[in-house]
Amino acid sequence: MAKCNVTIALKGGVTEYRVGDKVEGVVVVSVDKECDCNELSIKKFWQTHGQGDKSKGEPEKITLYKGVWQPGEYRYDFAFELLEEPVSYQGKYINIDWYLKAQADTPWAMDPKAEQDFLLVSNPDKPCRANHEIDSMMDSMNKTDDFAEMVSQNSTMKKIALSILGGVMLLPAFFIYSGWQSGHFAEIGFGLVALFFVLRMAWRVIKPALAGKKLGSVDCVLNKQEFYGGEYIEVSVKFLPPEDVSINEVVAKLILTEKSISGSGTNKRTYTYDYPHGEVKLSGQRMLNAGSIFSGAARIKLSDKLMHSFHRGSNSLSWAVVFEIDIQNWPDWERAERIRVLN
Amino acid sequence: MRNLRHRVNIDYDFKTVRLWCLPHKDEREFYQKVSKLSYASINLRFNPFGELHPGERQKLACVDVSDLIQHLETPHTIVQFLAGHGRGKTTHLLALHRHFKKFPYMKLYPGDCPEFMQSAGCFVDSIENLSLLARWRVYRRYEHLAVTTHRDLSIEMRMAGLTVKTVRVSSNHVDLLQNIFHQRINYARRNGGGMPTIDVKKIKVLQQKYGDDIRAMEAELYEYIDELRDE
Repeated sequence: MAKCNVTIALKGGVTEYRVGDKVEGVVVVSVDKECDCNELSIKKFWQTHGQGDKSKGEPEKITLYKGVWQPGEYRYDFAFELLEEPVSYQGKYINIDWYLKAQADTPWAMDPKAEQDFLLVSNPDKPCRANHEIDSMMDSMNKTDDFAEMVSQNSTMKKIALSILGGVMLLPAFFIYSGWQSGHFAEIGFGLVALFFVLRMAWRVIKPALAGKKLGSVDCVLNKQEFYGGEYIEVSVKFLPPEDVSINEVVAKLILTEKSISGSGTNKRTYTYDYPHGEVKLSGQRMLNAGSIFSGAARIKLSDKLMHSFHRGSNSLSWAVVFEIDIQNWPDWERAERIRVLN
Repeated sequence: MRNLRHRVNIDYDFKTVRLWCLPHKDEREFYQKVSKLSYASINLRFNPFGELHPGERQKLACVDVSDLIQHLETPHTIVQFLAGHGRGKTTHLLALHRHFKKFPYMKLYPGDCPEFMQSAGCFVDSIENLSLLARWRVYRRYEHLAVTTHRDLSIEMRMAGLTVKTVRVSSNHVDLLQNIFHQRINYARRNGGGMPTIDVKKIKVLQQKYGDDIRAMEAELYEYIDELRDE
């Protein structure tokens, strides 16, 4: 059986490209005996790797050769334009890389192949073409998947959730009481653990309501929802406290959240990690009187090299401006406004 | 989080606000990571303890299923891989499936009601996700079955007239674990140079912490490899 080797060599040994560049190189095939080749092709694609299930982009393929190889070495030039997102990214749970994969389809043999990874970095002079597959997923990303957050933003749901939680709280209370009566410490333990989880859930629903009670209705406004690297995000916060309130500070934080999911069903695991990218302080410590409007505005400059928003399959990189109002001796108020960073 | 920042002042709307930014050093490190190929600093292409495609897991399986092949070739037989989460049931099933590629492989999730394909045999991952009635149909339908489960279903399998081979999956030998981890790292190797290794001492520490839960060990090793990359 003929021995066939395939390798990829990038022009100039370069492995880092900017959006708008061309990745060029040569596929080298060496054959020791006559060998049929149904197709020698090279594909360019992006793929994620990390803790979550891998997501992969639609490959772009070039067929380089079809025919018969005589013993010897053959070189096939190739070039791909790099115009589409995503750009390369290396984070804690998600990494995005670009790959070139050359493969020779040879009958009756294992297909020889070669793979080369490369970096695609953003180019401020050339915005990359949005990947429509990724785009279509953005809407679903903007919907909150945190049940407690969703409930806290809807007053009817809040009432329903609190009624259910109140009912559910009776169950651990029953276990604790019954365990106490019968002297079964395992039952008391189970009741306490269950009570802890119910109270934790209840706190997540109640906390924003408590904070909201002190501040009244809070308006958090961004100048727009979509930003390019280098632009400013203009943020403003306005509220009319119904009673005297002392605040420690009001801040707006820019946060990139990695979210990655592996497996599904009972094996499903979700990994999230927040990268802080700066914060702007809208106010320091001050006393607000009932009925006096608090109004604060500022802006956050986005770096030129920021990773754009990304959502594909089990992996997402989402940007948000998180507003936090630290109220003295009271639960803090917090709200996240999702934004989309483009490249 | 707060200690990561330094303070600068900017003028905006006729008033001065203080802008907290990431220190230059952190920002530099964040972007420097992207200025070289993934894990190239430790001669790897990716983190070997991250999630792999099922095909890659099949290729890297360090399990001996040779005695099960003969068993499964006999009609009316079933191989049941039994263990808790993260012990390697699926890896065993995938390794066995390499020898029976003509049979379909199905991964089941809670609530699934799949349509089973016409075939003499079938590989079912997480068969306990089917109802008893649906499982019974599967037992009666196929002559060669291999399944994974958290619960021992051998009684119902025997009642369905199948010869059952139960394999309790547990990888608690240091040598085996070292081999599994070495295979993973070697697969992620970038080129012929040196690569990270997981020594016996580290494996014993992992065993003390996680018993035979390989998935939990891999999660810790993922962090370990990431730390090596960032050093």
